[in-house]
Amino acid sequence: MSDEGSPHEKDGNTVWVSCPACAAWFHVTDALVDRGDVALRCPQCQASFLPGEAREIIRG
Amino acid sequence: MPSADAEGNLARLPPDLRSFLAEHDHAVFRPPAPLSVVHEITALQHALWRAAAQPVIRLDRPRLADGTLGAMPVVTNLFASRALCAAALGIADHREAARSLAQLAARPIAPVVVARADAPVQAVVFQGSDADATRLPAFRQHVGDAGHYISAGHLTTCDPDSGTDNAGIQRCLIRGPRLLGCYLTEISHNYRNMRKFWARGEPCPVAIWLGHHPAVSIGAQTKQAYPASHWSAAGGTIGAPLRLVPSITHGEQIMVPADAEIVIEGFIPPNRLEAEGPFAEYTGYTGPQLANPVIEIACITQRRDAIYVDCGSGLPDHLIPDNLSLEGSIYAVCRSAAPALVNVHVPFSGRRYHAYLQFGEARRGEVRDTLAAALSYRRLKLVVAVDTDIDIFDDRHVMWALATRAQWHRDLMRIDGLTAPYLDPTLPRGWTTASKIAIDATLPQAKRPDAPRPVSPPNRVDTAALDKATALLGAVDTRQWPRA
Repeated sequence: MSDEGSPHEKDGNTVWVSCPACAAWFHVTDALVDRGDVALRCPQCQASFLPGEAREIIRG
Repeated sequence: MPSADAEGNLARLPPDLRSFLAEHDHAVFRPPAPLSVVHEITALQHALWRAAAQPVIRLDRPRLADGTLGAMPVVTNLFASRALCAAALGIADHREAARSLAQLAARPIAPVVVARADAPVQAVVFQGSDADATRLPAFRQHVGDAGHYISAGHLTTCDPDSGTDNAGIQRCLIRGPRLLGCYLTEISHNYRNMRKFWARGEPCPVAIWLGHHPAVSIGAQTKQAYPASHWSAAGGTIGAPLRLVPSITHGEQIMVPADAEIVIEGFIPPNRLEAEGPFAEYTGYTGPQLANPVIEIACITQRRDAIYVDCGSGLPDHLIPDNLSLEGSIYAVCRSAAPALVNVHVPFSGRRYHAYLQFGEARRGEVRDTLAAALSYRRLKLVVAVDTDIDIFDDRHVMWALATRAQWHRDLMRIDGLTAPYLDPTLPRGWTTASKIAIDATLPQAKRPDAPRPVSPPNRVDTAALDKATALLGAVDTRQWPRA
């Protein structure tokens, strides 16, 4: 379900990425993920990877 | 009711005010110089509140209105501390009050009747012209009050149809040696009982009892159906049958707690109304003068060395016990509808009008269901739902949640035409209903248990580093540092 479905149900507004090296979660903007060509940097282990290489991406 | 002897429940000393004071002597402040019952002791309560300190205040020789030192000790600020009230109830942490009081309320214990010889409160009996309320060290608390008020008296009546008792703390103005004014709100069960007697053309028998173990006082204030005994609720909060004795004037029709400090007995004559008030009320505002019944005093009984108990109106002393009781009631009702409800706080900052509800993982709609249920409590005007990472006992934390977790188009519920709290200073003239709001300031749930919530995470520092910093400050005197 989404906010469009019911104006009173809460959904998120953030994209969470799981690092392929250490599995730590960190959040990024939609625009950064959507570009696809800018490497993300894990704040936990400093690994650098493209969005397509992420262990998992969850859009809230 | 069973007798005390048959029950065999009286082997240990019954709880009373003096046993509580002795047990918590470390929390009692005895001002080094006499203070007056006219404004000065109440002013001390205000000063303590501003200093965020809430001891019990005891003066053995209070200065009376005529300037002399009284012989009857006074105690006030008895209920100002949540921690002390919780201790009285046997609750280790005041933040557990909602759950604990919900459980205690579900386990009422019937009272027992003792003989007058076993009732300390009837050790001394004043009748006729000797029954003089003006000799009580009643306070004139605030500027603008109509006079000296009995502020901590449990006014007790009975339903003439069923005989069931009812008790509630209601302000009583000392109008003269043998006459009181009393404020009975029209929705109170005492008012209902009074009107039933009046409909029969009879005076309403009453007794006002003062001074008992705080757990008895809190239990007796528990909101009940009508008619329902408050004695059993008080027994539940002390975990033992409350000891009662027939009143001198009314016999078994009006029972009174045998271990109270003072009892005033009398009648409310039919249809006699007199101007009563103004009086500084729980809202923090002075309520207006209005037409109220009077009580004709027939008898005053007391312990040989009775202690007079006052309650600082509009101060934590006044609001904390009632709010604790409300937390238990809200938890009991809402938890049955919402398993995700974790805790409830009715903060002093909102007087009796605000409640903070804390939730664990709730299914969609569950938070709003619960908020709607909580709004049905007459006294509440605003209910806020937050997550378990918000400290509902810290207003700053709740304000942070409101600022950062709510969108008003989505998270605000307003319901109009609900029963209004009495004395709400914002009520338009003539209105008896109010608009109430609830705010869902919880975060959206994660899509699955091992995933983060789909919002920006709160700032946090490393737990070990925070523990180290807290320990560091624990060894430093911070009192001289700027507070704001």
